[in-house]
Amino acid sequence: MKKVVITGAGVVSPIGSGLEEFFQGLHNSSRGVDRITNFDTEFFPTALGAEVRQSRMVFRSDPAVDRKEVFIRKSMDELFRTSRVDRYDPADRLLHLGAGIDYFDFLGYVRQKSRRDWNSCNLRAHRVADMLAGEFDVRGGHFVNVSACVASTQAMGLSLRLLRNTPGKAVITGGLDSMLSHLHYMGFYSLGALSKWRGEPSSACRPFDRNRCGLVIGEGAAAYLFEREENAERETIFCEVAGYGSTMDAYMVTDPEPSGGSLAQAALDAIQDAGITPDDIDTVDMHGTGTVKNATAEAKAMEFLFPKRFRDIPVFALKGQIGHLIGACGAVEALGVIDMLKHQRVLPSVNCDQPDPGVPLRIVREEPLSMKINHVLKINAAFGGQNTAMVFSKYEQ
Amino acid sequence: MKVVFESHDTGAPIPVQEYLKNKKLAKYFNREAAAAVICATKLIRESSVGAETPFYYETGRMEFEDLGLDRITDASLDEQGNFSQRLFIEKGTKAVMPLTQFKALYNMPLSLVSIEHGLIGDNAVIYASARGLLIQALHAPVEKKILLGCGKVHRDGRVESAFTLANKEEIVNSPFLGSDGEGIEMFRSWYIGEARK
Amino acid sequence: MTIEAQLRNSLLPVFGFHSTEQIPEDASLVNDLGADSLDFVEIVYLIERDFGVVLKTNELMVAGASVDPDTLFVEGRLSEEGASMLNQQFPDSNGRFKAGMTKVGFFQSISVRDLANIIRQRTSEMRKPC
Repeated sequence: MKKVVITGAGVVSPIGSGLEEFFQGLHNSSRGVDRITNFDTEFFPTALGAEVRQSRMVFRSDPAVDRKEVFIRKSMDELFRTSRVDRYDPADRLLHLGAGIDYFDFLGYVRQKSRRDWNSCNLRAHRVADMLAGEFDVRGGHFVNVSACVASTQAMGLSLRLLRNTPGKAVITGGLDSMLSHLHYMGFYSLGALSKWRGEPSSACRPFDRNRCGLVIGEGAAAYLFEREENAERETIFCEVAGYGSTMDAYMVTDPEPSGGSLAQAALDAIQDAGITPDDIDTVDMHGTGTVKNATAEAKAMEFLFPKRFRDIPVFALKGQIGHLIGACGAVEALGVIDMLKHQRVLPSVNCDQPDPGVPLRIVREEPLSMKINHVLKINAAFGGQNTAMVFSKYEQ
Repeated sequence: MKVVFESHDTGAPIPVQEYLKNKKLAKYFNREAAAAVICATKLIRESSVGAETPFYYETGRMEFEDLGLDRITDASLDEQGNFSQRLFIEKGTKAVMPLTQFKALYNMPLSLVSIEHGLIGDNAVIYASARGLLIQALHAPVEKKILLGCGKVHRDGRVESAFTLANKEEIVNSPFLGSDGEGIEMFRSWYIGEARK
Repeated sequence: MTIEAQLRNSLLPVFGFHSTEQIPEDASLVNDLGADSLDFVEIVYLIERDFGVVLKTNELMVAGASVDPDTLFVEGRLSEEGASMLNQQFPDSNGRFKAGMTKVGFFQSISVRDLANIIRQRTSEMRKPC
């Protein structure tokens, strides 16, 4: 089977934009969660979010602007500037992204006094892909996955499958999302899903902590260049994308399947796809939303996957730093995986101050844990029950 | 290749309750999801679909909204007809059921069909692209029948939904691999093709 | 129409039922009717919409009294004082709220009638002259 590798990336995130700034924020355990400032949250019952920052300043935009479109354009711009994607003929470049639900310019809509036009205020993600394909000269086909919180990992998973089966192509993949706007934000609030944390805003998203109390919405985008190893320039390789699996809980719309069996099956599929066994996995990058049920379901899945090792295998969760990027979460979190493989260490998960005895996982806290890392498992799960898992491996010829 | 294709006129009730084993699911349905469950159920009742069958769904460009946006808007306007943030929070956000947020998620048709029929295999939701749906299917990790579905909410409120079970050989030469068309047009062409046979 | 009858009617779509006979007054919302956590979000919404009573899910425990529901629990378990308060709050409790009960246990024990009692209590409070 042909190896697929990552040879370029670009990112926009709440802990920094551009790879250099992002990795600096990642290494410093920077926290991007704070009170929302880009839009008016007066009278909102809660107003915490992880807004995109560049040079420590929150990225500001007009309410008519679809922020995630801006974020993915910036990410792709960085990718195209810093990678060797230009070696591919435009007809051999594909674009396959994961996105959240469309941005709706609610304030623009309510200000239309007569005959409000819903369509003109609904900014669609597939149109974003159309525009980007034109702007970046990607003529081999483009489309968008919209599987909620696994949209971007499903897009990356398909990109892996596609490259294995198709010679001579390059895929630009990743994800984009921003739900930090009136309707989407309050929609999550109405469901009771948002963090009820009363302390410092930066501590509001608490994956695996005993006092975790809900998710914090983040925003951002990440773009990657996936190529076959045989076409890649060795010195540009970040890591190998070794395996992918996707399953469906078929349990409930609202909650993860509590046994974690379906999530574990996605992981087993990805591990088998990578040609390794669970014993070969060195560390796991968790979905870790900061909700009560997510942590217990993920812990069960870990127990299922690693019956003898689940208490010992070091794990990491990034959402404490950047919040939940929904349609872009897996794509941005994958940069954390790349970092682990490069520096051979597991970074500490922030805000897990008091580990939950009901979640018997080895969450690395406070200090990075240096160790030999060849294979990282990355798991994600979506509202509605879709699960994904990917295996990223240290590149070796 | 059997294709089930259904159309529901604007405002006409979509009788999904008659098809549901799990009646409680009904509250999560928008019209596209209700149409998808009816369509998928009709196909699955006549075919053998294993629990691990890969299932890919294309959601068309939604051109009509009926989740209660105007109720939110009207409740958020003051006496002069201007937007009031206070009214938006106090009344507007309460003008629709909290579950409406789920109805707005694009993966709900796939999720609800999967829950109703116990489908646990490889899956994806593709946005407004027949080509995307075909590519997802052509790279499925198994060489068996694949469940493909799509839905489209038209500008006039009409909802169309279609499902089929296909082998890779049956779709590998589809002209839609080279087009930017939506899934519903591809299913329509398959449906007409089958009807002619 | 009694509050119980109105409430049973309001709850029909939550459980996908067609007849209020499927929602007996003494049914436990969780154990008998299968309510999950999001159903409670919906129930709280419907109580506000149909009865004008504003509650948060957590406040069901204190029937909306001005007490922080979290103070009834120590280390996730109902305290003696908490149990005694809950037994007073719910007229039909028959002492079923006991120290050591978890929040999950509390929600499992809540019946349709309990919910109607909370609404009754709150609506009569709302009618009190200032």
